[in-house]
Amino acid sequence: MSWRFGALTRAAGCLAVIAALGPACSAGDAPTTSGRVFVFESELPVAAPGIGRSAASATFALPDHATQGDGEWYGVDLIIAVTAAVWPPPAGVNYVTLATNGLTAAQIEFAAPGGDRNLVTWRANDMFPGASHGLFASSTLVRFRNILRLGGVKGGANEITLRIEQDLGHVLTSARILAGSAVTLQETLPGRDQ
Amino acid sequence: MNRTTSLTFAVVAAAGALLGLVLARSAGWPAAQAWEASGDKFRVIEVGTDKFYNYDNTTKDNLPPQGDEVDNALTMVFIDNATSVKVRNKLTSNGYPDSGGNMHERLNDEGSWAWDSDAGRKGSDTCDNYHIRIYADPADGDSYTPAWGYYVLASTHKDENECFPFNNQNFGWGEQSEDHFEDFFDQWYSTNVDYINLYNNEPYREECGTACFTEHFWDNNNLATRLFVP
Repeated sequence: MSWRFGALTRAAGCLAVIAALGPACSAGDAPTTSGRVFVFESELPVAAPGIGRSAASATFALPDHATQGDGEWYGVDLIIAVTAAVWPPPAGVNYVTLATNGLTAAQIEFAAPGGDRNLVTWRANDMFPGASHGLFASSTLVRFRNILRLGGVKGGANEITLRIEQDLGHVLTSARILAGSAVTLQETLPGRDQ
Repeated sequence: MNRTTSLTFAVVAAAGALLGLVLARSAGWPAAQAWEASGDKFRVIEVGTDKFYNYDNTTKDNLPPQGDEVDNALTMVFIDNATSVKVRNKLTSNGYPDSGGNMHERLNDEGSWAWDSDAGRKGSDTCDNYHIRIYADPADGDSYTPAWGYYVLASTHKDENECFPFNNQNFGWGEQSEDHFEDFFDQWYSTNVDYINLYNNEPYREECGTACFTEHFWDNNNLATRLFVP
């Protein structure tokens, strides 16, 4: 699947090319700046028909010199729409995960107790301060931010994969990354006690 | 008291003492026997912004955690897409349905230190069992660092003689039990045996517990097995 995106870099020339060519465009040696460096302009959906795993992939481009670490930390800022399988959702634990270049950088756990306690709880672990958890009945939007993996970032074309894991029950029926989600860049990692 | 009466009394007293020990242990007493990491091996391991101690502890009452209150060395690291739920489910569904007593791991995933406690998973044999405890950020059931992705930590050991008459309830053999669980998880996860240096080398030694009722047979190299959870 190809995935169109826009780039918010200071490389205005490349921005026009990106808009025209989508994922085929490389940002080249364009200077980078902190913030939302690429904004996804279309959705990346995954349907989950039953027990097992379902995935969808797309590509996006980063500057040729892009590497992870040493003052350049690439991350993701995602809005993910999730739909529960049926009402009430059966008992189980599902995961929505995201990987770049095969290395997992997002993992959201959805758990349903089954029976008459029919809400789905979700929780996510990321490197940004603040709680990331909630609960819902049939569908919800999850905002997820995280720093990508060492080795999960390279110059040029990068692959991003969204996956629903249903090894432990059929809780979810679909997940999609919404347009407006972004690849981000920052100079330092989120705060940590030393 | 004649000789027969004296002998009978001694037998009854011994049997009573043994029964008391059995009942006490089944009731969870005495509190977990603490063991001592050798030399200066007990330390904090840093992986990027994350930190954790390289042994689990028998108590979470003391801060900082103490090297003479440990239970076992960490021997396995599950990386990339791991969670405690995923790893425990593999164990529970495939021959390790039972658990033991809680032990405690001190770790720092989200910028502050926390304890995670786990009773682990072990086999259901009446006497001898391999036992693994899984640890991660207790708020999430996993930990995250850009180097390893979503990871959980594990200590492994073998329990011996956990059946009547409960003599010589020994445990340990960390390296052997690491190999055992590597063989078990190899059917789902790609593994790198002896791959991550956790600086918890324990040459073979026998550490005696109270009255030597239990002995810890230490045997562990520095290197933990890395398991890639897809």
